[in-house]
Amino acid sequence: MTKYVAAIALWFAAVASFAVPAQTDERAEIAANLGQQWFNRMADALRHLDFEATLVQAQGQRVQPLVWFHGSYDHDTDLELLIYLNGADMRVLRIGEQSYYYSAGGAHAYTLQSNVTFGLIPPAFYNSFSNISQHYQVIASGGMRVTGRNAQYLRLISRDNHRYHYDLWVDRETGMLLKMQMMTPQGEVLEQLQLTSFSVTNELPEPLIDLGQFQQPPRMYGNDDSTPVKFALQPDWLPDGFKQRIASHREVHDTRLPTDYYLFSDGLTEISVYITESQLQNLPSLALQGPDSMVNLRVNGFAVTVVGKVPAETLHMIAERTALKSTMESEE
Amino acid sequence: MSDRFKEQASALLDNHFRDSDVDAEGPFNADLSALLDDQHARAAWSRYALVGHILRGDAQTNQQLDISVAVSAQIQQQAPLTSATSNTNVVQPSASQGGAQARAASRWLKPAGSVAIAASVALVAVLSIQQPVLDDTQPAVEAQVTPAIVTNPFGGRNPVSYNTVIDQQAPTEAELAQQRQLLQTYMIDHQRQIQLSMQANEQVTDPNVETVKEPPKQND
Repeated sequence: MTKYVAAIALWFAAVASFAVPAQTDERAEIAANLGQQWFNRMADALRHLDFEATLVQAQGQRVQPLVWFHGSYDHDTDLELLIYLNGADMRVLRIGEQSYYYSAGGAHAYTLQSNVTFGLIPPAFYNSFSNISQHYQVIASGGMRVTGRNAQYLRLISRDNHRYHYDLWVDRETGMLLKMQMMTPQGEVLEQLQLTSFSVTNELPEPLIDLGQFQQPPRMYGNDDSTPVKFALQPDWLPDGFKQRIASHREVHDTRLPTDYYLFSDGLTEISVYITESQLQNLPSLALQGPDSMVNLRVNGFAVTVVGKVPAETLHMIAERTALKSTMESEE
Repeated sequence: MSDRFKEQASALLDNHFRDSDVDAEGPFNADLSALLDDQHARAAWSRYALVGHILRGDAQTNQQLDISVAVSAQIQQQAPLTSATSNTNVVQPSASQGGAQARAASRWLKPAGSVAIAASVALVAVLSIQQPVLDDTQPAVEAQVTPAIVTNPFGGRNPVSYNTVIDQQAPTEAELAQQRQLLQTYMIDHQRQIQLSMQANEQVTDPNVETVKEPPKQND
């Protein structure tokens, strides 16, 4: 009941704030404001709505059907369950700030200390737009019928063309995300998400009730990140807004490849940079573009590998513009 | 007698049953019936047919040569069954069934149809949700000792296509496979690091990460 009141209040707030600047500001400004409000409504719905949904995730030729349950427990802890229906039995269960990733047989199960679920939608969608507003803008434009419901269409675009864009359709009644498309700046769709059924349950969905006895898989720990980077080459350019999150020397997962590793994030997208001594890594120069792009280049006797959900062109620029430390220090 | 039957069987096979018949005055049907009723004649016909097949080269091994026995046995088996139950088991098309189908079809047009689909999918989910939890026989203690580094994170198994421009001399198959694997490894490592950084971020923003919350139990 209170949720409905809150939703109605939010709706009126949205309409009211739409009406006020309409008299003074430009249309683009209104669309952007409205877009932000819709984005925040979506984030709120993903956190607080009790729902069950079926959906399809498509990446190129691959299509993966899923079921998705979400509900909040005691208005405090939100619970989420994702079940992948094709292929290996994979599911994600999140209880508040613990997320558990199970795959068939439990051999690769692990726990993450995270209040968002990884793998379906960008974690940034769970949070306020203000976190990414510096480098992205979201524009509300028109509507459409999606999943049998009246939906608001949003365009989430980067302020430069170094990143992928998102098209979002959110339910006008609940704010729920109904459809998502990730595409290149040129408009090629790389990844899609489409809800095929959606219903608000107004209480914790049944699969989330009585989770009493379940096994918590082991916590996933990273390599020791304390080893500082070793090599002379390091990234010198990234698109605006990408901040360094990790810089360490380690071996790449499952290999004995000594590597300087850097992770950058702009709040929505992550980019990994791997720098290895050239003679130890035998990959040719290559560029792959897809939902996750990858570029491998040889620069100054090092193999530079860059991976991320951005256009291959961006990765290529990052790899190309790695610079030797000595020259960078002399510049400073 | 037997020779004559063999001769007739051969003629029947060659579709010359009638014109090869010496006793032309005997009724055709009676002769044919007599021939078909004779077990030896039927066996002879089968052999001739097989010889013909082999000569033409279209015989198959393991081919059931004489299905007539199986067919007649099947018919004898089924005959009483169908006669006894024909009144009860055979579905009679009726007007009422057509009505039900029409109603079912019209239901698809209503929004309620999608709810039903969702409900059925949800039911599957409810049935299967218990499995990984209960089937997990790994002892918890051992699981905690095992380094979690061997885990493959979600999303890391995207197939890597190799539509690249290679400006070196063509590598061997083994080298290609190795390179493809290395590409996969980078993808997986990238996914892993994102997930770990999500975790690291939590630790920065939330100092109370060590408190492991008990799974909530909803008591209605």
